[in-house]
Amino acid sequence: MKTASIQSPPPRPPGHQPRKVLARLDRLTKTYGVPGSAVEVPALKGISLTFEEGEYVAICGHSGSGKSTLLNLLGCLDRPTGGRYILGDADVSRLDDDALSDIRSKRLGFVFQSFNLIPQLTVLENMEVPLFYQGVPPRLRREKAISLIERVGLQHRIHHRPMELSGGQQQRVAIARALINDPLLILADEPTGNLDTATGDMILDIFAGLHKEGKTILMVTHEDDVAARCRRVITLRDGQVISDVQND
Amino acid sequence: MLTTMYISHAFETTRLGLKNIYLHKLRSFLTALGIICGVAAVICMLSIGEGASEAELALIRLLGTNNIILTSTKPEETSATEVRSWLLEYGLTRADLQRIRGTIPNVVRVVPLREVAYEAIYGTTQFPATIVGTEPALFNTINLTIASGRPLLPVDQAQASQVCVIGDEVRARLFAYEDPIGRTLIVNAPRSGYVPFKVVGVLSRVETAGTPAKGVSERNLNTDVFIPLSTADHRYGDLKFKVRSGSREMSKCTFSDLYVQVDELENVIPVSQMLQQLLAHGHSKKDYLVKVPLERLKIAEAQKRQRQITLGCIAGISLLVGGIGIMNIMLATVTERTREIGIRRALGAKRRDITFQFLVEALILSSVGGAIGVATGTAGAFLITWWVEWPTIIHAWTILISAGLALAVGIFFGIYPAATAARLDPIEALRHA
Ligand SMILES: Nc1ncnc2c1ncn2[C@@H]1O[C@H](COP(=O)(O)OP(=O)(O)OP(=O)(O)O)[C@@H](O)[C@H]1O
Ligand SMILES: [Mg+2]
Repeated sequence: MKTASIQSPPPRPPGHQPRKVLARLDRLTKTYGVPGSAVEVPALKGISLTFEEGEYVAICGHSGSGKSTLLNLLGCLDRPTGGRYILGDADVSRLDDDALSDIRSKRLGFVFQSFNLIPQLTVLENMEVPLFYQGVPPRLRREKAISLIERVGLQHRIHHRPMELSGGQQQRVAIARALINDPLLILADEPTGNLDTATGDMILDIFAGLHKEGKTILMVTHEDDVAARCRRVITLRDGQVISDVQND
Repeated sequence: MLTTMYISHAFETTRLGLKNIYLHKLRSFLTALGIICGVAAVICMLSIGEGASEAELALIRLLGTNNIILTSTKPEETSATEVRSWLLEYGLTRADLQRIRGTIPNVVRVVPLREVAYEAIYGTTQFPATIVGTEPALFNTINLTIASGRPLLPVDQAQASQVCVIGDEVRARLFAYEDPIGRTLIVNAPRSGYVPFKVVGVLSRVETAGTPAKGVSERNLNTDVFIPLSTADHRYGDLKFKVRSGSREMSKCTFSDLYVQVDELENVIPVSQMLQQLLAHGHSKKDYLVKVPLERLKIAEAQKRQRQITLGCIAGISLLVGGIGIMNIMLATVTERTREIGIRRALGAKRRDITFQFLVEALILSSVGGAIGVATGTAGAFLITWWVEWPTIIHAWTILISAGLALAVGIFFGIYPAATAARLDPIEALRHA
């Protein structure tokens, strides 16, 4: 199992030591529409970034600056128009659809603004979906889901459907689902966007806890106080990185 | 290891499909209804088609495709000038029999039948049986089987014994509670009076499924009592008396039927033509019929095929409509669940996983619909027989074909919506409201 690499995170001594590089973007571009035509939209114009193991990154920028586009590329939901994207040890920028699906189910965890739980499935069943597509046997899936639901404190709601949960609870289920395959990267597109401040803070607390455990989290946000809680803040404007700073 | 994974995957996808279908009970039922009606229609139509032909075909096979049946008929009153004579003489004669036996090639044997009386009595029960004098060879000429006892034998013929072999209905009516073999029944006829006959054999029931095979033989073998022809000659002669609505009628009809058995199937038609010519010479009036079961069989089989095709097409169209219903609903489902498809794709589902998921749902709808359709179709066929009294026959292949068609319709009309679902772009699907 290649994905087991971050199961037991190494102890993190203080100070900046060189850590393992998880993802590298090399002059990544994304252009929507037919290139060269009038409807061409250059959403990303050559992004070069490196993400190391254990980082907690906020991606900021105005609306339309290309944050979601970048996150979709990082999440292997889309293919770049140009440049390279290395995830772990594989160049994923040229993989076919099936291979990208494989990577999504084995190496990535998603948390969406609108939770995106499947309404007709229960909490546990929702959490098991990524493992289902990996071909993990039902018993193992169930064990893993139960052990993770305790982490987000919803063990008393495992047989409920998403509609019976509050927004904050749904997002906690979504986070648990994103953790179930021990992903290399957790990708979150405005995870607090649909929540009130208090609930949003609780979600950010969970992210902070995951960060302490050594998980790597990339989060899109346009709220400064959310970005302030992250260790590294990348700011985009018009499809380009205009700043990349380490907090504290 | 890998196969168990696939099986488990398929199993869980099926469970998921059932769950989704169960969540929309009414909609699923209405969708399946098209298939239910289609499959039920296929089964009913095919079973009616089968049933309608089967009775006729069975009787023709019983009469034997190698046989030609000559039957005497009362000629129509030809002219008003012809004074009604006191004796009506018509039909097949001994001369005809001799000429056929002597001149027609390829004939194995000719078996004559003569109706001599129309009433059989046992104890206090009487039954309007047809008492027929015939030769023992009859039992080798048509495919009659003996349920119990023995057929008529040459020795009965030689001794002009007073023995008889009875049809199944005669047995049921006269000997409901006892074994008829060895009992003596009484045949009653005007002028001849009461004559005892010992029952030596009983025929198996001849299934005509309610529709007598008209045009082949109006003879209902279940109500016949067969006696040796020599006994009939001895006891009754050629004259026949009938008391009808107060007035006496006397007629002379030597043979009611002649069963001509031909050696080879390909000689049946030429022999029948020769018989036509031969009889045309000997008879001034058309007081006979030449019936060829083989011709009837061919016609009946062609009719059956045509009927099956027509009925099958009508039923097939309703199945097609059912399939379109499935496609329609599956397309709506895909649109409705675009978001779910996006989520599944983001979480690692491949295109083929999505295709499979929606195809399985279409297949569940069509196969459950197909199963219910088989049940309702079978029940419907029974109802038709019971209510309208049309004979119906459901073969195993009828059920297999209709169930198979339901599955095929499910696959055919499920593929397109499933492929549409799989083609969706994950990002756009996720953005879907
Ligand atoms: N499918 C698409 N087709 C054409 N243009 C697109 C498409 N998706 C995004 N764009 C364009 O690409 C640019 C970047 O969009 P993106 O969604 O990444 O912005 P964003 O930073 O996430 O904005 P927001 O904060 O509002 O979510 C925008 O100009 C947008 O109009
Ligand atoms: Mg966005």
